[in-house]
Amino acid sequence: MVSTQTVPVEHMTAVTVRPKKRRLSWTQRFSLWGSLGYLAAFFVIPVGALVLNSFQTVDGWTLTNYAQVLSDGYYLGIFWETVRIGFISTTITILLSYPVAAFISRLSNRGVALVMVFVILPYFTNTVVRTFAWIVILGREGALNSFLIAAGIIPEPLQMLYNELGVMVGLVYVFLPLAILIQFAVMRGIDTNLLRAAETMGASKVRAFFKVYLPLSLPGTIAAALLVFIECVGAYITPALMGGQGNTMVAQIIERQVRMGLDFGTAAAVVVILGVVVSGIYVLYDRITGMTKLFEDNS
Amino acid sequence: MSSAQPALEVESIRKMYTEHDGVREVSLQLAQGEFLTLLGPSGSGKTTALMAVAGLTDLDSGSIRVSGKDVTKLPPSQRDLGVTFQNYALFPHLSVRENLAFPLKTQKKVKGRALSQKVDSMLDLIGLGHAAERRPKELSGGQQQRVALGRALIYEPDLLLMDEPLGALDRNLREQMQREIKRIQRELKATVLYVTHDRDEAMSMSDQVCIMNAGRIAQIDPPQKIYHEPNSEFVARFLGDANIFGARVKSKNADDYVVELTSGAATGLTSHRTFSEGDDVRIMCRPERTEIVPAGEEGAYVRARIEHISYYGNCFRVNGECLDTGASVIVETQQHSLPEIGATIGLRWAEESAVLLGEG
Ligand SMILES: Nc1ncnc2c1ncn2[C@@H]1O[C@H](COP(=O)(O)OP(=O)(O)O)[C@@H](O)[C@H]1O
Ligand SMILES: [Mg+2]
Repeated sequence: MVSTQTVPVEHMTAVTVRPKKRRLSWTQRFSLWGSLGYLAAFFVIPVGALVLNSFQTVDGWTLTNYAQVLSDGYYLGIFWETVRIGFISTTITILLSYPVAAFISRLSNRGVALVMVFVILPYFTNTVVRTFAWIVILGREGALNSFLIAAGIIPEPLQMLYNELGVMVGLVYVFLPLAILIQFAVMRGIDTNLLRAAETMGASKVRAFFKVYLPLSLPGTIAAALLVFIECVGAYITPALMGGQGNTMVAQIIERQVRMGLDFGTAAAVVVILGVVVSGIYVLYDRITGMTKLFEDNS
Repeated sequence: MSSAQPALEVESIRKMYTEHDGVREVSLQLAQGEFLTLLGPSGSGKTTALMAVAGLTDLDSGSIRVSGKDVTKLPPSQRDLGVTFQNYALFPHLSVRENLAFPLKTQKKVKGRALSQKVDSMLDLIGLGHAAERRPKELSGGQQQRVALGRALIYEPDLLLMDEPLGALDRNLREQMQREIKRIQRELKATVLYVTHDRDEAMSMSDQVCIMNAGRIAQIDPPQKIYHEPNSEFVARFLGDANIFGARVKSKNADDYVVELTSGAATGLTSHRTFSEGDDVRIMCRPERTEIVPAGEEGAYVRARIEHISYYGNCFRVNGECLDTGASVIVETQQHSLPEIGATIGLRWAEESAVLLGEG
């Protein structure tokens, strides 16, 4: 359904209409060159260096690093594991955030302001600190296990940390606010009269949801899923602190390569492959829906 | 079900949001094919009443029957109504054709070829065959309005509810759309409950006009009657300019009254409302039924001083101030030799042109 949408007229004109040439003021020049310089210093140069690095060994220019990474079951296993955990965590995040975002989007402006404070609040603390809070809750002697045992629901503590479950709980928790915010922005623009209109035409509430609300909210949900997935795949802190031996994710491998083996070449190749995979997913999404669609209004 | 069955019966419905806001004691009846308009100032409860009929607002009390069937407890999806919303509520992710097909696909009464034929003939009726594949946002306001109308009519509901459907359009387009809606309504013999705050729209389109004020019905009557025989000062003034004078009932004989104006002049008139001798009342006469006579003349009911004269092509409008009470008066006349500004004139009217209003 989404894929059949025609390109709205505004977008085509937005591309072809160019601003008139005019002289820039000193402050404009300063901020233009300033931001370009910033980009060069903190993005283009390091990423460029990284890419160059990935094609180098002590023997000079080569594809050895890539060959090594892509032929080694260990690396491939970790790539697969990373994508799998990222996918499951993203799915859970979306399932939890969708109803929450839909609920918040129906509140009054005051209600939104109030509830959003609680959604965003975790961002005011450091990720490491927040993750340790979860360790306190989920640990063998942690709050949740103590409660479940006291309540007689389980005989002995469950292993909820240093395994896959721990990593996923951590990832979902960290990226939930992001997913809520992105979907909220789209859902807030959906006119609830559309649902009422559908009902007067004979649609049940369920049908009105699937035929009207879901398609209209989908661009936000896909964007949220995409960003959360990218973040999950690149996450380092959460799997490092909450995962076990078997739950190594890509970011940790990169860190380990650099720290232990000083093998910059292999580490760089892993980073580039990860970057290509993530960019590929983004391009795919943009082909299907168009990121720009997010910013259309639904009125 | 006989065709004599009313299309809609609303029985003293009540829905109060607060102590003052909402609707109460609202009762209406619409015959099949009738066009009734709820007219009133903003906040008078028109939308609330309409949404109650649609089932989109829960009632505190009262009952609603559509074609004889009690629908008070039914959800909107089971009331067999068409509704158009003020902002059109077209589905932005669907084309014009898909918007029109939406209710048919939902109700599953027609399928396949029959469905697309129905959509095509509705596209013809609303004149949008050339724009069938466009999205709502690629249409003009008037075109969107027609899609909304078509989508509400395509499944031939027993009753069409329209909430200020032309409110977002500019003046010219609005008048064109008024005729369009009437044409389609007549063609399909649709029963319509219409909401507007524009009195010209209400007067020109309706079989019956229902004036709402502060959540209650002030009066329901056909346009001509409600204009010339309002039952209250509120209705009189809401529908147009009105000359209103204080008076007292001198004598009565069944429906025939003799009243004495504050100016001292006496006049006879007929009223079906009951007043007693000595009651304080008011007399209302429309500007186009009020006549200018020389001030000293026998039979002038009221004397006034001319303050302003404006020419309207088909008539003059004379604004003045009543000499006895200081109330403003207005006369619409085709008479060409008018006294000058500042001159004193007499006003009178034919007995059958004036109506008695109660206090308040
Ligand atoms: N959902 C609501 N909650 C509280 N008050 C409302 C609500 N909807 C309408 N009102 C109030 O009820 C009164 C009637 O509103 P409405 O039916 O929308 O009037 P109209 O359509 O004639 O402008 C207004 O005073 C309005 O503020
Ligand atoms: Mg309204």
